[in-house]
This record gives sequence, C-alpha cells and structure tokens, in this order.
Amino acid sequence: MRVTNNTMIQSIVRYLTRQNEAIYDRQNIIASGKKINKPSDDPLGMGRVLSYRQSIAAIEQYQSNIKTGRTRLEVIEANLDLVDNLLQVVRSLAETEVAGTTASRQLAADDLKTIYDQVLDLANSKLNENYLFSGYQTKTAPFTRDDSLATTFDQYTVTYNGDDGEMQYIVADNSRVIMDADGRPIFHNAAAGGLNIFDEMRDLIVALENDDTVAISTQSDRLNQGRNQIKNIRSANAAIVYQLKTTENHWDNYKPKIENLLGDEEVADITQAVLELKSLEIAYESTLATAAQISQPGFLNFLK
Amino acid sequence: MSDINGVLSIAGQALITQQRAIHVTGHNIANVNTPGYSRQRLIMSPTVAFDSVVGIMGNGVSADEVERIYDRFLNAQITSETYVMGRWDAQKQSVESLEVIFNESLGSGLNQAMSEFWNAWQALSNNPSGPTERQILVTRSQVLASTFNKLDADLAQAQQDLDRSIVGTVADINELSAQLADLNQKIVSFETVTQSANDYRDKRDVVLKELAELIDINAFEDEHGAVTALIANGRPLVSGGSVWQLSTETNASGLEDVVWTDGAGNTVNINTDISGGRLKGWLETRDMVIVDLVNRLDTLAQNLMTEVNNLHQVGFDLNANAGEVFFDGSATAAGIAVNANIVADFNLVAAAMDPLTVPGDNRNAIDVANLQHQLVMSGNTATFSDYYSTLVRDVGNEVLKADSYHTHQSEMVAQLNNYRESISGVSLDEEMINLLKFQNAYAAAAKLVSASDEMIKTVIQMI
Repeated sequence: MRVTNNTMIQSIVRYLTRQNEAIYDRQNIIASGKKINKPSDDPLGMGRVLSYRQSIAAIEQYQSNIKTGRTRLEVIEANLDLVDNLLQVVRSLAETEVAGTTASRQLAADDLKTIYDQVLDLANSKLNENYLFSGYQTKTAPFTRDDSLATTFDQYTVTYNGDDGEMQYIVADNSRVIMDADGRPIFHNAAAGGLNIFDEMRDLIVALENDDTVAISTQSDRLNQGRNQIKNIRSANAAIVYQLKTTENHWDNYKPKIENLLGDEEVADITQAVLELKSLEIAYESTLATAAQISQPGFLNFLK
Repeated sequence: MSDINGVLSIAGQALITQQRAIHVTGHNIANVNTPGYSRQRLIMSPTVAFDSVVGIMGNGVSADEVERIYDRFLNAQITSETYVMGRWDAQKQSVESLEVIFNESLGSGLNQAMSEFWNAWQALSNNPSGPTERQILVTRSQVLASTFNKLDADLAQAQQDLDRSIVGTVADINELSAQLADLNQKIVSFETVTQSANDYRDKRDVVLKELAELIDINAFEDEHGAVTALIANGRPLVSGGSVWQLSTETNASGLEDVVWTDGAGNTVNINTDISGGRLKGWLETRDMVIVDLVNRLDTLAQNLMTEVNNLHQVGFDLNANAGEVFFDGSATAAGIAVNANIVADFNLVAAAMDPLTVPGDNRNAIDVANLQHQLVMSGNTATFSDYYSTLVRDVGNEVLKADSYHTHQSEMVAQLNNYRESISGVSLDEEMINLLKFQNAYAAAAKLVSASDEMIKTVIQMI
C-alpha cells in the first residue's frame, strides 16, 4: 500500500487517542479504587453492586432493629428481676410473720405498703418515654391505684389501663419477632385464671393488720405463685432473646460475606491497574517518539 | 521539419511542459495537508510526429491535462460508512451523558434513597410514636421524592439539549446543501469549457462527507458531472443547482421534528425515515432511549406511590385518624411528592392498624417497610429495587452498545480513509522525487536551447 505522510500522522493521532483513553480509564480506577466507575464499565456488575448495597443497608437496619428489641427485653428483664426480688422480700416477711407478734405484724404491714408502691412503679416502667407494659397504649400508664374510691387500704384496687397490644420487630426479610406488651399476664392476671399481684399484696397487708395468722400463711403461698407467674414470663422472654441473638449472629456472619461479594464486584485490583498503567505509558511514550521521528520530512533531508 | 528551428521549438515546448509539471508538483506539495485534496498529475504526451525522409520523427512533448488521481467508488463507500459512524458517534455521546445521570457508582442515587426510605419505616416501627423517627421518615421520603423529580428533570434537560442539537444540525444541513448545489453549478459550467474541475470536485467530496456525518446521504453523479443527493428514504436534498430545504416543526411532546419540503411546498415529517448521521443518533436517544427511561421511572414512581398509599390509608395516625395518602402529586417521576399535610405534621404518619391501638401499634409501619421485599414490579416478578437496578444496567448496556458500534465504525472509516489516502493522498517523498525529475528535464531542455543556439551560431560563422 502506498503510505503517505498523512496516513502516518492520522494513524499516530488515532493510536495516541486510544492510548490516552486507556490511560485515563486506569487513572480513574486507581483514583477511585473501583473498577466500576460508571454503569457501562460493567452493566451486569453494576446491577449486582446495587443489589448488594441494598442488602447491606437492609442488614444494617435489621441489626439496628434487633438491638432495639434486645434493649427492650433487657430493660423488661431488669425490671422483672427487681419485682421478683421485692416479692421474695414480701414472702419471707410473710413467712416470718406467721409466727410474729401483733406489733411486729403492724411494722411489717407498713414496710409492705412501701414495697407495694415500688412494685406499682416498676409495673409502670418506661423505655424511651413509652410504657413497657401497657400494650399499644404506650403513652398511658398501665396500672393506676384507684385512690378516689378508697378510704382505707383494704379498698385499694389497681386498674389496668392498657390493652392487649404487642410490639413487633422486623429482624429479617418478611420476618418479625413479636413481644407481648400486655402488662396483665405479669401483674394483673386474675381474670385469666392467674394472680393479681397487687390484690395479693393488699390482702397480705390487710391480713397482717388484722393479725390473721391463717390469712398470712395463705397469702405467703399465693405470693409464691405470683413469683412463678413472673418467672414464666421471664423464661418466655429469654427464649425471645435467644431467638434475637441467633438472628443477630446470622447477620453478623452474613454481612461480611455480602461485603466481600460487593468488594469482589467493584473494588479494583490496584496493583494490576498500576502495572497496566505503566505498560500503557511505555506504549504511549514510544508512540510519541515515533511521531517525532516521522514528522521530519524524509527525502528532503537527503537533498542538497 | 527537422531543422534547427524545429529543435528549438521542441526545447521551448519541453521547457513549458516541465515547468507546468513543476507547477502541478508545487500545487500538490502546497496542498499536502488540505483535507479531501486528491493529488494531481500532468498528463504529457508526444506531439504529432511528422513524416521525414528517414521516417517518422517525433516533435517533442505536449501537456494534455491535469488529472486528479481518485477512486470514485471508494468515495461513495466512505460516504455511506460515514453516516453510520455519524449516527453512533452522536448516539454514544448522548447516551454517555445519560449514564452520568444514572451513575450510582458513588452510592448516592435512587437506589440509596429507596433503601433509606424503607429503613426509615423500619426505624419508625421500632418506636412508632417517636418524634425523631417520624421526622426522619418524612425527611427520607422527601429525599426519595425529590430524587425521582431530579432524575426526571435531568432526563428532560438531556432531551432539551438533544432537541437544540437537532435544530442546529438541520440548519447545518441546509447550509451544506446550498454549498453542494453551488459546487454542482460551478463544476458543470467549468467542465463544459475545460476538462476537469479537479479542486471543485475535491471540495464537493468534502461537503458530501460533512453532510453524511449529519444525515444518511445517497449520492450519485449525472452525465454532466452534477451530484444528486438523496436523504431519508430517497427524498432529494440536492439535485444539480436545486436544494430541498429541511426545517423543524414542534410536535405534540414539545420537541422538534425534522420535516422535508417537497417541490409543491408540502412538508413531510421524515423523523422515522432518517437512518443515519448525527441526526439519527440524536433522534434515537431523544425519542427512544430517553422516552423509555422516563416511562420506566414513571412506572416505578407510580407503583411505589400506589403501594405505599394503599397501605398508608389502611393505617391510623397518632391522632387515631385514618391515614391520608402518603405520596401525592401526579403519579409520575416528575410529580411524586410527599403529602404536604404529613410534611407539616409528622403525627399524620399512619403507623398503627387500628384507631384503638394508637400510639404503640407499629404493625402498619412494618407492613409498609415489608413492601421493600415484595415482588410488585414487572408483572409481580421484581422488587422496586430490582426494577431500578435493571434500569441502571440497561443504561450501561446502551452506552456499551453505542460505544462498540462507534469503535467498529470509526475503525472502518479510518481504514477507508487510509485506503483513500493511499490512492489520492500527497506523499512528500514522491513529490520531491518528481520535483527533481522535472527540474532535471527542465535543465536538459534549457541545454537543448543552448545547443540549438550554438548550432545556429556555427551556421552563421560558416558564412
């Protein structure tokens, strides 16, 4: 083929453009640390990158939900543990007072009135300004002592103001953990065949004040049953905590795997990019050197 | 007559002819970098011989014509490959600008906005009456809506930019058509008098190539040397000295269509008949690619709106009232907006399932959050985020496709140009050798003059 000066110059321009493009690509990869810098770099890969990113964002949210759920259960557990301790105190007082004197029974009754109020306070515990034991009625105190009707202690009753609501947490795609937020099965379960802890305590106080040994003994047993009622709830909660922990472990293991996949998909092999850049630069420089050579008129040099 | 004057006349003719050849060489050298220039050469031939007593004797040289070295079929091929290249060049450029709009590689974009939106619903479900959670949800929803709005506005802007390019290109085509008609007339009138309008022809080839970059051109030459150029399915653009003007007219979507005016002054919309050149590339991106992307974004926005609104209206807000629509505005990517009442009062976010279970009930918030994983798009086969990932992937594929066609086609045109250059291009080495050759011949012819002169002197001295 007949090759003219323009043929050579045009092909050099073409090669330089192409090499510049390739160098620019590598520089982008090195600067961003990513091999996918725009969708057209790898359309399928970009699709996977988006789906991994979405999974990671979702997992992080699940982890946060699980943490919130666990916090709730831990706070409930701490409260119920305290209630249990108080009831234990009540019960041992009662057991002692079965053999007690009228005077000591009076003193014990006064102590129990304080404990009664403490248990009522615990049953009205809040987390983040939300009542824990009032079902969906999180802004309403679940248990109130109806003071207006009562003239003497034996007329005190505690009313439940909440509902049978529950608290749900999303812990995985389309999967949720449900926690009962109803305070009645814990403290106020007489209607469902269980015990009303408040009434039992009141009755014990009344029995102590009335110096009624048989009643004191009965109440001591019933309060023991009350402790079991709370223990059952606590073990049910422990099962939920276990479930949350297992799910959390799952996500803790799963998230790094997705992050690895994301890394494989989009993180650039910098060493490789640098090596490629070096060899492209060599090619680029040789093209430039060639260009300098041929841009000098050939035959003209030999005239004269 | 083989006398001394005859030798002198041969010498004189030779001097003139070699000088002309040097002139042509000079013209070639001068135009070594002129685009589209075809090298020329002087065709020389011996003049008519005469019959002498010793037989036929030559009578020197004459310059017949200046010939342009050229392959006409090659040029036709370059024209047709050029309009294909022009199309992909324009399409590549324009889809690359769309890719920037959908560039999610930095992690900010609709994909992230959607993730954060769903996560905000989950966060709300963890504390259904929490003012912080409610505020964050409202903010994230606004970001989501405005991300949709921005994508749509960017696409509309890209469409407007292409529209302006199309209008400008139509003006360029008219300008080049006028030049082509003018050159046609010059060539025809020039060639009836002399032989070949070499430089005008080169110039016309350049104009045809420039036209082919803009629109599909089918050009052929008639017997008088005038070129007829047909565009868009055989409609004449230029024939001889006549030009059929192109213009634009606003269509129903507010964009400009390309129209061709026939001899009787009727306008014909040729948008779909244009098959090459930058016009095709721009029309394709403006009317097919962008329209498709806008439609898909609209579908996504519309479905998202419907699904979220349906659930939200089933729920109850913190005041135990039934939920209002969550998103309002028109059901498009451009129109989607968060209900202004909810923006003004985040207590209107309906997280509960029942008016009696407010404020602790999070079941409706959970239902909305779970929409994230529901297959509600593409005939119940894809989630919202799948649908959008596919869209981004397709934008990437469009760029790859245009890029590979463009690379292939420009390689092809470069090869053809090389081929053309190998036939018609000026080689300085060659011209320098020719220059020497003609210079030597010129010197020898001058020597012939002085030889004749000496011969005459000899004859005179004999007397």
